Amino acid sequence: MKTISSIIIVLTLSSVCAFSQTGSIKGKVVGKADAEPLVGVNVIVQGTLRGASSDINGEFTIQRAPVGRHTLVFSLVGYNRETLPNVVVAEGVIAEVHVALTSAPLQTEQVVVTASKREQSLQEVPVSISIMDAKDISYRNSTTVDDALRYVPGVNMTEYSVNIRGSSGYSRGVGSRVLMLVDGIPFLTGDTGELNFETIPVGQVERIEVVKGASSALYGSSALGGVINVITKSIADEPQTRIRLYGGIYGRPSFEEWDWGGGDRLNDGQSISHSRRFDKLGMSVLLSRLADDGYRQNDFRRRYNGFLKLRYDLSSEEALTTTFNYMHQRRASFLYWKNLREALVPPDGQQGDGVKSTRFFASSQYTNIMSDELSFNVKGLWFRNDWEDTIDEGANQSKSDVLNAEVQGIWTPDKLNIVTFGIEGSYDNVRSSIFGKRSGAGFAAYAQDELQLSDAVKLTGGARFDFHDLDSLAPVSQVNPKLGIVVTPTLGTTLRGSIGFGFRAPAVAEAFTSTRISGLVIIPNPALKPEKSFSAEIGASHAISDDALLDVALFHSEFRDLIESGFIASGQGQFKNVTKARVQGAEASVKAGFFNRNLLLDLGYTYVYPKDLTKNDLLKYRPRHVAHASLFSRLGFLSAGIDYRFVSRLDRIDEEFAQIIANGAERGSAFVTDFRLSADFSHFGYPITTTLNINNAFQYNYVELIGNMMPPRSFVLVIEAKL
Amino acid sequence: MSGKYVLAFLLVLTVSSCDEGIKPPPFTGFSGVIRYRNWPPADSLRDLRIVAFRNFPPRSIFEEVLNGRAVVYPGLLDTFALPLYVDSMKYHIEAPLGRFEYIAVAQQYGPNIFTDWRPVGQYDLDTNLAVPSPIEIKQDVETQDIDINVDFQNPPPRPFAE
Repeated sequence: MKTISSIIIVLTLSSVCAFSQTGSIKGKVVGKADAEPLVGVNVIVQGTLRGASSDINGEFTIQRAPVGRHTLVFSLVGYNRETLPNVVVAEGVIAEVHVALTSAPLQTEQVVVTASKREQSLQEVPVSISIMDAKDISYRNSTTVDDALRYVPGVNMTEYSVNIRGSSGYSRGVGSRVLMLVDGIPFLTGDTGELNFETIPVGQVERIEVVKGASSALYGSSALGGVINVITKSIADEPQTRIRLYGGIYGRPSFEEWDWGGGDRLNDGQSISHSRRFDKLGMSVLLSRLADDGYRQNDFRRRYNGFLKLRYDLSSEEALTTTFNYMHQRRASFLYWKNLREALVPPDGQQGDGVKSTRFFASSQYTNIMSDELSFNVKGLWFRNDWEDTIDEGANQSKSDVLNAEVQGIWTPDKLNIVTFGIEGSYDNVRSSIFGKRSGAGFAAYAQDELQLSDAVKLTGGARFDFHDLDSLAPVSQVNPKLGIVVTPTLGTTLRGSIGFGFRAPAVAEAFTSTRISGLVIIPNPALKPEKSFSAEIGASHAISDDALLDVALFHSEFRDLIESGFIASGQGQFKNVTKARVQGAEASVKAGFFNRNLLLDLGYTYVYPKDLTKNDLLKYRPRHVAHASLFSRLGFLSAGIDYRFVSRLDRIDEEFAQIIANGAERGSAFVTDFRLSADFSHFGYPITTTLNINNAFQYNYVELIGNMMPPRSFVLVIEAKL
Repeated sequence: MSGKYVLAFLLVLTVSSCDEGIKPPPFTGFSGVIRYRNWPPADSLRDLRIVAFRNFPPRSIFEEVLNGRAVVYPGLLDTFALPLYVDSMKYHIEAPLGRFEYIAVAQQYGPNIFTDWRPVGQYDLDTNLAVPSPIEIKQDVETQDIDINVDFQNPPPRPFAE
């Protein structure tokens, strides 16, 4: 997983401004055991923003390094970090170095960008972060980002609502207590304030980073329970074309009663992508299509995605990257079952319900290193969201536009401090039949300092000021501080601790929904206030051996003014600030390799105690136990794997809602096992990989949400060619 | 840690998946398929329901239902009707124990919801349309294959006065 190279760009860019005294550093990095060149090694001039990534020959060049005596830091996933002191750079001279890296415990040198809005080693981060990369996504044939998130420790999905360590329950697609970013830029819909996973083409995802815990000190509203950062693929240096085809079939339901006569239910998808460079211009383009009959009646979907990424190197040290993405989808709407006897059939009155949506975003990023101590990154995004449905009494429709712009700086005043700071602005405009014509704006400023107290201790402190003004709601302002510490007492052991505050401004849909659903009248609430949170965590990771890594964490979160939908005295429905809550828990994960890492094991377990302090009861839709186990083995051109997920029975659901749905209270624990078998024919000179996925192989029947049976066993065959 | 312990651990986890999880509850009632022919224009098709009568001939749909002598699907308070203009549909209806003499698909063809009903299909195992076939409902048993052919141009006799 040598993904480091893809994100080194920020460090390798520098200003067109002339540096008065600079030289270059060239070198080669190899593995100590076999002397083979290592690709994607992250090489940084310590205490500066200068760096490079090794190429296919293990070679790298750092240009315009400041004159003087430096320490180089080498890091790569799966290898121990090495430092090379006393590298002398003289004006106009190329210094040459040769370094051999030793194999390290699993995943100790993974690089992340979300925790501090800059690239850093996972071991330097004071909060818990999980990472899922493109290989994991492709291997599991995840067709959307939320599919992939089901395999991340500490993350639980309730339909499309993300729950990180008990922070969220089920929000009915309105509001999110987890912030999603695309390449570091907030990506929530303007009207409902939800995470929209289907817009992001997973074929262009390089990796997904999940930060667990309140992160509003850097990211502002919605980062109440955590942050999901979807990082898109870098443009390939050499021309590269990928074709990916899959086709699958859902198995028959377990019981004759559930066989609703839909025949064979199929799904298939096709995507083609191409990435290449033309001198200073690089481009990636992807077209994809997805068709899914669905395993339930009135549950089909058809989706089309188009993605274009352009990068222009203004100089060897400056670049402008622009991304366009378009998605069109038509799908049926399955809200809940008719009853448990007909669990795969909607109520008769909901036959034919559906949603048509068109979503588009364009984003742009410009990076410039002004000097060896100061760099800037300017980024912006426009997200257009347009949908209409045919649900219930007449069609609803909504159009929204979100504009977001940010200027971020990184300042390294000396070799001990790294200061990240920035300002951010946003504008939101909604035209909708159920939310009305609404607009809002926000402004934020933030700063954070990472202080290397000693070789073993690093402190992080920062705060962010946010101002939000949403239509007729009272304007709100908020300051969210954070503090973190990382201690590395011995090689392979890291202790971490952090506290932070979070908040979430109400979404347009929560404040202004005015509609009628199945006879229930929902009215606006112009008095809604932001939700607020405080979270703390202590954790440790320890390399049990070169082939085994243990990570444990204890966490505690307090929430105030949580927004929930409910009935008011008049019998109408409304979103209200009703709940004060406390969520405590523990998380443990183990990664281990056996037989020279030909057999990899990944275990994770999260315990959550989610207390509703207002009602002195447990919070809704929070499973107390979530566990996963993955086993992956490679033997020659064949590889095989098992994924196992356990989610304990929900202690509480939306009891009022369950009463109006036949058998609505029916639920249980989930035990789901998936099998994968893959053949990589590149061993024989053919650049083709085929994978057979058997999902829910033992046909375990479970619900995540009231009246929503999850998929039965399904078989999917994937063929991928890389040309 | 040895690899065999890992495999044993995963085997235990995997076996836990072998339980089937949620199951359909026991069902007391009847089910079958309705097959349609010759759908009428929409203005004469105001509602369509399945009715199971204890007695044959019944007096009227509403009187029999309100006196507990008939089961109607969708229920009287449900605002939706059976799916219209389809070739066929499967149905499952919960019903109390005992014998039902007459199972019919009833069409509301006019504005009067009390009187403007007529049967357009009935459960019948023989060709004598004057006498429909009865069914017996037993505890926790789904009486299956209660299939009904509906031909809007050739409906069975109307046994109820209104």
